[in-house]
Amino acid sequence: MQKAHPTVSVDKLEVTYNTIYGQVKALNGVSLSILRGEVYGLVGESGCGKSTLGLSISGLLPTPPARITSGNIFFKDFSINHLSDDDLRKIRGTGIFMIFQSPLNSLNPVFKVGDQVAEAIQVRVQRGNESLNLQEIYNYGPTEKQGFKSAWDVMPKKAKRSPRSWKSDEIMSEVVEVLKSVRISDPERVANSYPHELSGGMRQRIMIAMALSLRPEFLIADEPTSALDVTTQAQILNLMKNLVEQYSTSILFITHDLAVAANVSNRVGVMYAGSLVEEASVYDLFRDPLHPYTTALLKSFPQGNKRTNKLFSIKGEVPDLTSLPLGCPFAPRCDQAKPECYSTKPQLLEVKENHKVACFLYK
Amino acid sequence: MSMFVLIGVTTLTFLISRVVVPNPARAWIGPKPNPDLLKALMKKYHFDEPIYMQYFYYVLGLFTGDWGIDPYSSIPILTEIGMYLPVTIELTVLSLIFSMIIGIPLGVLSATHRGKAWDNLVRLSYLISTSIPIFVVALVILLVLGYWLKIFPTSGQLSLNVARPPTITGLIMVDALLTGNINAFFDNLYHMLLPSLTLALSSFGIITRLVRSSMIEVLEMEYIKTAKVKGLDRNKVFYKHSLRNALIPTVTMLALLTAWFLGGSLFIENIFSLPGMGRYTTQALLMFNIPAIMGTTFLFTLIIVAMNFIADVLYALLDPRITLE
Amino acid sequence: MKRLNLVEVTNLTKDFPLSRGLIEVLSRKRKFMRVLDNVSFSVLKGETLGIVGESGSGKTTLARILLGLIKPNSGKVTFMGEDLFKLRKLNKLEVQAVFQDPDSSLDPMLQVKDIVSEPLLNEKMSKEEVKKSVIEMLNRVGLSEEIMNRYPFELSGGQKQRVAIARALIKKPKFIVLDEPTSALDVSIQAQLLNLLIKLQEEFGLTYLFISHNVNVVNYVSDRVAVIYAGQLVEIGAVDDLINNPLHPYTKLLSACVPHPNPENRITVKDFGEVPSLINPPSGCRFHPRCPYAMEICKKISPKLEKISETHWVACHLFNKR
Repeated sequence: MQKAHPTVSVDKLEVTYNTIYGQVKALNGVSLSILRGEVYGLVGESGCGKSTLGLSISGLLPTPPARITSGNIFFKDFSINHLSDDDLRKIRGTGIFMIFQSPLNSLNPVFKVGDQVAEAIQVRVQRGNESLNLQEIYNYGPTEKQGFKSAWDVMPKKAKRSPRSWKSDEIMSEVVEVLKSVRISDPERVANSYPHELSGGMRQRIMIAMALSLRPEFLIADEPTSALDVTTQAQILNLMKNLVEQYSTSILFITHDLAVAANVSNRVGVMYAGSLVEEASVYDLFRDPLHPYTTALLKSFPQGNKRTNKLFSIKGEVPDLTSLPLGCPFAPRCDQAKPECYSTKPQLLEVKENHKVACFLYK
Repeated sequence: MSMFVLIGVTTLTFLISRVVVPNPARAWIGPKPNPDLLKALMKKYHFDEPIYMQYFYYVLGLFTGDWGIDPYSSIPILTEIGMYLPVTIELTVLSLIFSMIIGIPLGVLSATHRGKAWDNLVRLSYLISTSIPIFVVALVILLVLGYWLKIFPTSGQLSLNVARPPTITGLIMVDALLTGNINAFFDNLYHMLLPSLTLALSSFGIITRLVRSSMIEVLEMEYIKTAKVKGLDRNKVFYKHSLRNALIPTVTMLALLTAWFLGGSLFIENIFSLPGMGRYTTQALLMFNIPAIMGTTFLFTLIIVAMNFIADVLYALLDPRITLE
Repeated sequence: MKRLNLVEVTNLTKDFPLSRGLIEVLSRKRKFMRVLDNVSFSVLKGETLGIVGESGSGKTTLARILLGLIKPNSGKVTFMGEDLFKLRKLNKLEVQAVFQDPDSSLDPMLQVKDIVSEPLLNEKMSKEEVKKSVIEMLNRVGLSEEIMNRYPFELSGGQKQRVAIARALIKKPKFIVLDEPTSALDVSIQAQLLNLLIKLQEEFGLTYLFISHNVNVVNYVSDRVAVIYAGQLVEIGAVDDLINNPLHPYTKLLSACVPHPNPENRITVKDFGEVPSLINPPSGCRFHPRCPYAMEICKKISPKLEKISETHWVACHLFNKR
């Protein structure tokens, strides 16, 4: 059953939040895997659990109130969801990196952006400039008591230079280089600015520069362009492509915008109320959407003009996660719902080659 | 802003002093005045002129160093303040340092162990500290550490066998350091420890509570997630990225704490027999020494206004988003 | 077919003062940011005029001026032939607005019925009449009357925006300024609201000014579209003209950067340029530093709107016939 080794795979992940309204299942058994150099677009509306998935993989889930109740997350075949924060740290940065939606909040307001990019370079340099070799670092098998030796410990001796000695010119010149590579025209001035002095698009380019400095194997981009203007968005998407081309980074691209997903992804997954309802290659999904939710979502995307194209509006509202229906979560809003949709939850099954859907219409 | 505070306070002190003692010259000169001397004094201090001119001369005096004369000792108020102020400065600065040493780590501890045993313990401790009156804290500390355990001296600034260093700034610790007298420095610190600790203990809760809430806020910010996911080690995430942001609001407490300490010095300096502004003020109050009371009031206002200004400057230094107007 | 101009905007210019340093205060130098630079257009009765612009283009300032919330530095806004800033306050209620963020435009301490009936406060109406018209309006925007006694925090984003629309419509205004009304909503809810807005426009004979940064949405709802860039109106025309035949280099860049839900039609733009600063805007045409066709004249003179066809106007020296 072993196919190509995915960079990250998630297996039947369940995440529960404790809220004052009771237990909320933000993720309800989600499985997916992302291959090396692949951009996986994860599409869904607010509250569908797509951000929770991103945070779970990066180990940044706020616990409490959230808790991984079952399932597994694998990074290059090693289970990472039981690792302590200290052990996780060793695969963060060069292994897994994450970019957030709000470019203002994701940079520390009291430090110059150049220093914040320099920190990322330092992390990579300290780890010996090469991609992590987990086989070497991992002490125990995935099911044993888990723990990493620090990347620092297994690094060749000559790579162990004191982090401070890197602070100076070498790192600063790399900061300037990397800022240039994200098309910042005056990198020296920008490196010496504080985040609040830069525009939103500029700040998000700094985050991309950080990713380029870390050269992560896996990048989680959580709505990285949703707060940006269209021209800036196009620019950021373009820069993210460079990351894949240069370093074969795998990207989990989380977005609510179908059009953005169509533009960046190789494969797309559609989430609804904590479950993955459809997954296919980007061409198959947009040419031949199967799940009624995907179809409806595409038909409600504004295209053309009101005179020629009537928008489809899905009836009802996004369901309340505290009281999900027993069967398919989309059934109450679905035009084609059958009685069994209300009683049994459909599984995500491969109905065509590399095209999975969770719907009884395709049994 | 601070200008308005100063104008308000000077008007108030002027009016109080003139209402209570309509003719200060008469009070200064004693019960059986020599009419010529009185007239000369009234002329010299402009008490024969209309009230608004008197106010003008009063304010002019405040800013030119003429704060009036102590009627009991016949020494200018400013000279007296110069004698008493250094002790209070020492006390306030030490208390500020101690309350930060106690308050900030407790706030951080509390925030990082939110909802757990440590957090509850810290919250209980600052609740107790802020609810017990300062003189009770002082008396308990004095009793336990000073009289029963006899670890700390109970009064004064220096031990009897330690010579006071020559006065340069008036602050014994600074003078001792300037003259290289390490012995006197530590002896003075030893004597100041209990009083400043008392002030710190009764006020660290203000800092702890603020640090706790701003730390909790900062730890949930996205830039902390960015710092973590960059692969930075815990100390860097914590001390570099979180603490500096969390401490910014604490700076604004500087003026408030100073005001609190100046108020507290009224009790502390009397309980620990320290010759500072607190003692001077209580004596002035007890003897109805109006010029001295007005002088101290104005001085305290000046100090607090100055601390507010310092806090604003520090705020701008710590947070690049703020620029000074 | 000649239609009546409901709103006419002529040579509108708005400066915002900038905070100054001590030296500038002493030397009495005043610094301004020109947010709107000589903007003119008109809105025809019964149409939807879309305004597209990126952040900082001045589109929200434009909305606030049209609502009479702020005054322009120069230029004129007429509403049915009358100067907007000379009308008495009551008459201004013929203009209403729906904003992006219902959380800040709806008073959290009021119940839905009080929010919706607020514009009726000055009317001489009995309680029953007010209640009746509130219920009617809620039904018209697709809400049931059970919602009357709820508070905004108990509503979903889509419901809140419907409440905001109901409030805007209750006094039967003629002109509604919609400032990013669906930008905070999910796609499926956005579709519901766009359909509702189109339906209400027909039912009430409304005229819309629809402001958004989302080109797809503006193209969808509008009859005509105006594009503004850094405070300057660069192109205005019928929606088909702008979709099929964008002329201004900025409009071209904008359309090329719009993502479509079709992987076979991806964005291919490589050159984006830098967004200009409004504090120190480029001279002449503000787009010239980013423009691949920039000429010498573009740096010096800011181009005027030129008529290309009956419905299509563009401000670019490339199309200057003289």
